[in-house]
Amino acid sequence: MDAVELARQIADRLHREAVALGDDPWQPYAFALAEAKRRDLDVESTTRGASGLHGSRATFIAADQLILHEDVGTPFEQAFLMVHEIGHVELGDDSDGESAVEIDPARAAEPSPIGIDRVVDYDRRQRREVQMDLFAREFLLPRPWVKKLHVEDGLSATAIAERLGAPFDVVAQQLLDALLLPPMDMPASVETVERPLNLRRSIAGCLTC
Amino acid sequence: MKSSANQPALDDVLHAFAAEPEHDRSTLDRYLREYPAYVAELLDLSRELFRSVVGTDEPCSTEEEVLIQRAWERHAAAKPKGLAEKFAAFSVAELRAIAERLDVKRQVLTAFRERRVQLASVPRRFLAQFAVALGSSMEKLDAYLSLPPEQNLARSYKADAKPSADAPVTFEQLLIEAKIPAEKRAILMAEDQ
Repeated sequence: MDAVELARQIADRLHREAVALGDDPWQPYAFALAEAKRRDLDVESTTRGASGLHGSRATFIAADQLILHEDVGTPFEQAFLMVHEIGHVELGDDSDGESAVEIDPARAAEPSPIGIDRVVDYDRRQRREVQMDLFAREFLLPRPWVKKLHVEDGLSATAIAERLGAPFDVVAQQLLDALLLPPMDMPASVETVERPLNLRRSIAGCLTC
Repeated sequence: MKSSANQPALDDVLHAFAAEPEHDRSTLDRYLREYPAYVAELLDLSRELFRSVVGTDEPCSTEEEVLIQRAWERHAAAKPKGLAEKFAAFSVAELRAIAERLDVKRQVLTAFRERRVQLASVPRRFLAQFAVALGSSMEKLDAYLSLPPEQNLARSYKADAKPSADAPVTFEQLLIEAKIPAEKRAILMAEDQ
């Protein structure tokens, strides 16, 4: 399982845990804010291009445990910025400061079919940003949930997008992922047992030193 | 390199940095904040230290250990006990309390900590309240804010272009960016009670 899929499954688990605690996923901004509060993070919005954003759209200021995001777009889009930064915290980037300069809520999860995109590789940081975008999308609209809404509850992508306040392409992309990508199970952690060397192996080890 | 009265020499700072137990981002950030004059040298050294260690399994010689110890002692003695350390020591709960006391958002405190505000634009009354809230003095706060802005070099960006360091903004601009309503801005901008 690649890192992106792993991040999505973590986001899905966090979504389910939040719902179990009573948070309402149909209110994306409040839903994301509750997740930030559980981590003792403060979230503030600021004007677009504010000096504190350093040219980005959102940033996590680790020293202050503060997420700052621009006050632009719908509540869903602002929630997306917030969860992108929460992703950095959840997935282990919280000692750095992380800033989202460009986000793409409708980012495709699979490798690009365009040749040049396959040849020109993302650098490590760009791959991390892709991972965070997909983490955010999965947290706000996990594949199992969107699949249930569509298949069992009979809601179209348009209806889901309208009710959630999300862009249509985000819902459509997530629905396609849910319906077409094969499900992947989280690998069970295998506990390794360290066995001491027996006498013969110890001697063999010493002889090769 | 000659050292000024308050600023340790470059070599001492570099030795002290090298002697730190961890060379992670927070350590680098702290040194960059405290010694903005040596940013380039500290970054060069940190790059050296971040490289994978090859062939350095040998322990330090006695001479090297003495050199490091001496530099560390000089650094510890000369290290300014300033507001940078105070800011770094505040817990999140304390920062929230300070912001509440000053009636500003936390991003305003962050801007002050990172020295992204033009000192001359801040009303003295607010500065006095801020100094009290920090448990410091106006003189120390003035001195801290007079230093160059903190370079957020430890942050990483995904921008294709190199992020540019923002010039400090006025206090009023900071309040506008923080979306503090006009009525409250007027109170915060007032010079007198």
